[in-house]
Amino acid sequence: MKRAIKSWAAVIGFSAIWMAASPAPGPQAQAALPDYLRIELKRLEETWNVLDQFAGRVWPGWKGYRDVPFLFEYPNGVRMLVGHPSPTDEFVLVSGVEVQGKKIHLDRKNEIPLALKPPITGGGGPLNIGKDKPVQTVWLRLAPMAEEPEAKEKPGHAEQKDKETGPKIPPGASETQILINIHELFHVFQRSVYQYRFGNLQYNTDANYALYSEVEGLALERAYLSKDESAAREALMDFLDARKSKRASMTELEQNQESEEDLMEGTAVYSTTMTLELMKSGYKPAIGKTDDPFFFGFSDAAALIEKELETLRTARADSMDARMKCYPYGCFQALLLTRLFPGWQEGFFQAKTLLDLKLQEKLGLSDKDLAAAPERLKERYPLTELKAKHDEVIRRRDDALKMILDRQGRVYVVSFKPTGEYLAPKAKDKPYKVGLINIFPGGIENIDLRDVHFTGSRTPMIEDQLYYVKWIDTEDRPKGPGVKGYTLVFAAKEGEDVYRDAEFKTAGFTLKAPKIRVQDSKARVKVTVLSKLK
Amino acid sequence: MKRTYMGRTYPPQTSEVWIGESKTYLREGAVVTITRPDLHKRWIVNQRTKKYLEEPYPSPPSAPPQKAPFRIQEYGWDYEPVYEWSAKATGEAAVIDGRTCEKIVLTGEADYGSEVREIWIAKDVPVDLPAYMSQILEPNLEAALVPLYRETSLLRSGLAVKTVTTMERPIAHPIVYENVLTKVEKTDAPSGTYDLPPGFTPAKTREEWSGR
Repeated sequence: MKRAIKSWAAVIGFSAIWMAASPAPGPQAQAALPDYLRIELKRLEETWNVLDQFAGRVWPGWKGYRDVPFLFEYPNGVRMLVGHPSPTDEFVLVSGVEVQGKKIHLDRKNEIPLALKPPITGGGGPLNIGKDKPVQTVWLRLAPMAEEPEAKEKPGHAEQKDKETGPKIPPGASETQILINIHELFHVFQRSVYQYRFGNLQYNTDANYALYSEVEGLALERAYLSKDESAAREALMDFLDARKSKRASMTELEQNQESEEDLMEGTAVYSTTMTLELMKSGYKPAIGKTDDPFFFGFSDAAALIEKELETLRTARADSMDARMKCYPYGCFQALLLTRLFPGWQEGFFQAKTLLDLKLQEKLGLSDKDLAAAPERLKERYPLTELKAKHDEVIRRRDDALKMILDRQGRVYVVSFKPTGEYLAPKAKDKPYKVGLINIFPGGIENIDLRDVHFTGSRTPMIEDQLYYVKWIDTEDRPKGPGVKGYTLVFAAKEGEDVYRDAEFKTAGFTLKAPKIRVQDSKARVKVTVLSKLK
Repeated sequence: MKRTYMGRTYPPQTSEVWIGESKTYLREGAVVTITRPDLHKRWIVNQRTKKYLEEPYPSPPSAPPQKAPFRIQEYGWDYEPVYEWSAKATGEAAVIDGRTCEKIVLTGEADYGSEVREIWIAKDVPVDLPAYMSQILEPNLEAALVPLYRETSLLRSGLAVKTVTTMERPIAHPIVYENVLTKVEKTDAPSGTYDLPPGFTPAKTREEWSGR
């Protein structure tokens, strides 16, 4: 990693000299790119500009962020690679276009005529990619914001309205994406000083976990908002108490995984939250409205910090999720360490410790000190009320899972994977999550994805593995050669099993799509959506 | 064998197989499996740690694996596809590395994922095919494919000279494996091929064997 950084520094140095002596390829050439790509590059430039000002103060030794390549993927099939030393064969150099000396490569092999209208947002993570020389690359899958009324407003209009009433940074603002870029760059930095030891947390909550997890969140908020240091310390002891009680049903590995997720995701959120804190005392943007109409110069950093607190509140109240809590819980542990024990970051990753262990160590608490947790917490938090709330949700989730597992009959699977877009089904009733499975006991109302339209009946269904919907037809329908439990209407057929402008209809759902494959076998009927555009 | 993922082809790995009279040798990377039916033994040798594990051969019938008690905390995270396999002889023929080959395609479909194996079979190979099938191929096939290989005459009639496997996992990008036969000949194995290499010692545990 260090060697890679060194060689990149040499490349950047050379580029700078070359650019001084040559006609600049930068802004004018960038204008030749479609708007959504041009804005993306501007947001990346601003990401580097923000980090130039704050990275060293956010975390000691955080450098090298300009050397990390970015891979942006869009729902129209276009992929843009920035600053990668060894692109794979699908990528073609965009000649004459650079961003601060870094080359741009585009993969348009799978491009479809789908118009992309900014603002565009999305997330991802670090990936080790490259043809001859794989390097840690920030990979982001982006899409236009859902067309909600707020997002539809033009930036100028939204800004005007905000002056009167709401926040200065509206939904869809580039600030959000710049913070995501920083979050992912922090992950790449983490990997240069710390390697995952326990793996990702894959854990479904139970009632006890949900109860004490909420207490953890309440304690973190109490500590964060407390003006008094001793009260903050006491609330942090509550947090550690609750954590101990919460983990009764977790294996040792799961406990370590959770603490490690707090560490990895929490410090990444901390990196953006601390950046926002530091901005309050002075920040100079490098781009403006003409570069990116969705950029507001981080004019309301306080509102963005407040959003993190809101995330903590939402996460702690969730009965069914464990992993997403690690983002705010880890962040607020780190923020409190910074407030109460300045300088705690020095050598932190290298010491291979964890945030909760660090808190326990700094607070001088032994495991014995945390032994009387339930009684102590009972006095300080509304345990009975919280327990009743979480017990009910977990009972309903378990009932939903049992009901789904008990269903027997003809299996129908709809795969949306070739569309490259994660599903966001609209539920008829409250859905329940178990692992990667989302259970819809009352069915799915609809899934609309470009020109693909899925509508469901009131019948239990699941969404699984991000791209698939599964329905089991439990009715005993007539059997025999040529008798099917579905109808298929189409405009044209290609090969053995591909249909254009098709409508696939069962008693459980109707799927209309520009192009599908239907595979009807003994085990299942599988319908694969091959195209999302007419 | 070459693996390609997200546009990157990783350096190829070579496997080596020797089939003697009632004895076999299979090397994949640093791991060698020597099967000695005459001694009722199989050795799994780690050339890196110079340790080996010894197993009875044939393996005694094992009790069905104990099903772990249901634990809601773990449910729904890991998805292992259970493929429904089919085979289709395409009728295509080609000459690969001087050998006439016929193509057959195996397709595995699961709820969320699929696997397609395009296999080019050559019949004119100097290999003891029944021994190869029973001692090398079948023990390394996933259980669901064994009946398909037993029922499909083309698959048993020769050796796969080239196989391209495309694995479409539920979430990740596809992975493509390409296996190519680079050399096949009928010759005596070097002395000691089917014996434990000198200086290697038995490992008491898998961890000791792997050195990790």
